[in-house]
Amino acid sequence: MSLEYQVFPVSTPAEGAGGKTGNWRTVRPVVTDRCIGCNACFLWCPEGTIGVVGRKAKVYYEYCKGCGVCANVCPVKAIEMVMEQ
Amino acid sequence: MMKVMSGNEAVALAVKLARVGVVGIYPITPQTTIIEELAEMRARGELSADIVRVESEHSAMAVTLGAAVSGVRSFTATSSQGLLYMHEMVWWTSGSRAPLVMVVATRAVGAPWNIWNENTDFMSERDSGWIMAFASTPQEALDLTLQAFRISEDPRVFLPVMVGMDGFILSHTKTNVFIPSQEDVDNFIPPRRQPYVIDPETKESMGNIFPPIYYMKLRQSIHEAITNSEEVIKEVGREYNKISPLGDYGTLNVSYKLDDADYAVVTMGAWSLDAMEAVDKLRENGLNVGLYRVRYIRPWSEKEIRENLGDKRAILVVDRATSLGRGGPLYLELKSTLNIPIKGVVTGLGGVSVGKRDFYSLISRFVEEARYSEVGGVEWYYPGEVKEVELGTPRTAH
Amino acid sequence: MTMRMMGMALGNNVALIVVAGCSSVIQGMGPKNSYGYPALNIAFAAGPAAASGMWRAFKQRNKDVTVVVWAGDGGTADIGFASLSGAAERNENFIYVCVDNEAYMNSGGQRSGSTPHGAVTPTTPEGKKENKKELLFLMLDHHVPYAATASVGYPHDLMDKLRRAKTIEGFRYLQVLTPDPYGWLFDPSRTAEVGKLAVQTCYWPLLEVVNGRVQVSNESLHCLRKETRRPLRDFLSVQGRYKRLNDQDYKELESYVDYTWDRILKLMRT
Repeated sequence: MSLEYQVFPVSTPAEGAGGKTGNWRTVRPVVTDRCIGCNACFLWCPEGTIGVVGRKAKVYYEYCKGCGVCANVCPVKAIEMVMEQ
Repeated sequence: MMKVMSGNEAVALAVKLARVGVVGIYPITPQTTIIEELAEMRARGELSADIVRVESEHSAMAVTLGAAVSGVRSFTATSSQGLLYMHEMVWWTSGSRAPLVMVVATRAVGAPWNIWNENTDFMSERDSGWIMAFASTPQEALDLTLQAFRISEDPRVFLPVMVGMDGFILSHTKTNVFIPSQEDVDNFIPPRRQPYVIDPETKESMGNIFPPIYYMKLRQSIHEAITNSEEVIKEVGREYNKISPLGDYGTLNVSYKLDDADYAVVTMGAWSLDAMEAVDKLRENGLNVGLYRVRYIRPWSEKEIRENLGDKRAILVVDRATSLGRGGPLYLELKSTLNIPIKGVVTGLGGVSVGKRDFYSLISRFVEEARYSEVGGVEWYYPGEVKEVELGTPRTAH
Repeated sequence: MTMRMMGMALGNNVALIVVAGCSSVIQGMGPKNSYGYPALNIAFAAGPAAASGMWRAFKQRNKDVTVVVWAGDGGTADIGFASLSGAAERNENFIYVCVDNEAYMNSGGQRSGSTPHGAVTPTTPEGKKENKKELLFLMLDHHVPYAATASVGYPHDLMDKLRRAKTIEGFRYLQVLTPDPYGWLFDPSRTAEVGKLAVQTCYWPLLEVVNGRVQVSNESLHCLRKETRRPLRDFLSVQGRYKRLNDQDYKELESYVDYTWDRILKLMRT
């Protein structure tokens, strides 16, 4: 008997399984030169889309929702929220 | 080995023989002595299973499911209100495709309170995606429970199995039961198999949101697994026949003196034995009748049923359950399977005692009717001295 | 946010049980998911019981896996409370994380047993009349070996607590306050800030109770004396859900904070 009919409600981890952000983000975080690489943004980001690369924070825009938490928690106000075009 | 035991004791023994790992327990009459017996076995050191004494039936099923998806054979039992209370988890379990076994000692559903036997609780789960077997003796309760573990864990099935038995009539009545040896059972039930295991090693998850098309496919998969389980059940039954000298499990359902019969009665559960005695008596008196006992309500074997009943002139279906407003569930299932005159009888609800005399009179009256007219419809039958029933309540009487 | 912090705190050998709620949705669509952990998604009231079966299964299979139940405040305070209470009383060996956003946020923010007095929700448009259910105290009455509160405003404290919980055997309860911008009505960028304000104004006490010994976390030590507490208004005024608050409601909430801390002080003395 072929077992092809057997499918199960099982899922496996995959990057971006929650879907990409698309074009509904209204503001985006932009890291300026003031960044001291302290990782506060990485710690608080709900999406895991910002982190320190080298000595400066880097944003992964594909999944960033533009919530602005990073800009708010940054101790040196190094992140600016810029309107999307 | 033969031993005198009740249906509940037989089930507890089957759970022990199947080397179950986790049992979720919550008391409800008439199932309670199954879990008491298991707790006793555990206290005596005879049972290795972890017993979880939960705070509700909903949790009993959740514990059993949690253990099953994490790779361990698990079991629970319930009745009546308990089954209804865990209804949500009954569906979640089949949807999860978790192989596990539950025994239901049937009992009427309230309101009003009633602890006596009726199969409506069991029958009300027939849409839920479980394999569903129903025993007629304590022996069969043990046999079907053992087979249930193997059927449930077969890769062609991978579904939970519910084994029903009549509350009190089987759960608390002692008869002689053959017990297969532990060695035979170990050979009969292979090591646990299941479709996936929740484990940090596999990282697989179960049950997040799936798109509509995928969801529908998952449902169709359960449907096909139930349909295909028919072959698995017969195969497992034939294997089981080799380790137990009593009973024959090579077919899903059981026919009795049907080959040459013109008319047949269809039943399920313990009272089938009363009905068989009535059939014998009727045959002595020249009526050509036979009996068909439904053992598996899911899968519903259309093929077996057509082969055994398709050529009958008319059949009488006696239900110990109701689909209120529509008659008995067995009756409805048979109506949708066969194209012959079928009459339904609903009786024995809430513990109303129906014996072989009642079957004798029901069947003889039915044959009489069927000979000269087109039978059909559903009759509510009250046995013996309660033929005249006043349906008015005390309130309307005033 | 809390989910990511847990990932940092607990390491890899974790199996999750996720009851109905926002966390059932953010995993994305099957057959893929966005969690790094294996997760059993399950009906609302079934989490603690399923975890009871799961950790026993791992034990029987000789696997060292930390089982974590992930539930919202609705699943904890309301529909799942019997199951939670049963598992806590049996001292089942898993960590229970209640992500407390103080309402049924996944279905649109309706009031739950954990919604505070005065909060406007779709089912309490005039403001909730009753106080928030005392889940931590209720858990303490179950004699659990570990119970704590945390806030996403203070991630290090939260991760410390999770790490400590991991080393303890038995039932471990952690309730995390997770401000919800859409339900509490504030700008999402201020999530961490609001989580801090809740602690600074002493509305949300950060505690850790190990085997009955109550310890107030550093961030909440100033709350032990009434004079050093930051005014409650600083927490309430940044949220739109308290827009209907009148003076009497405000007094009620203030006395709720006093009551909470009196009770904590009493527990510390015993």
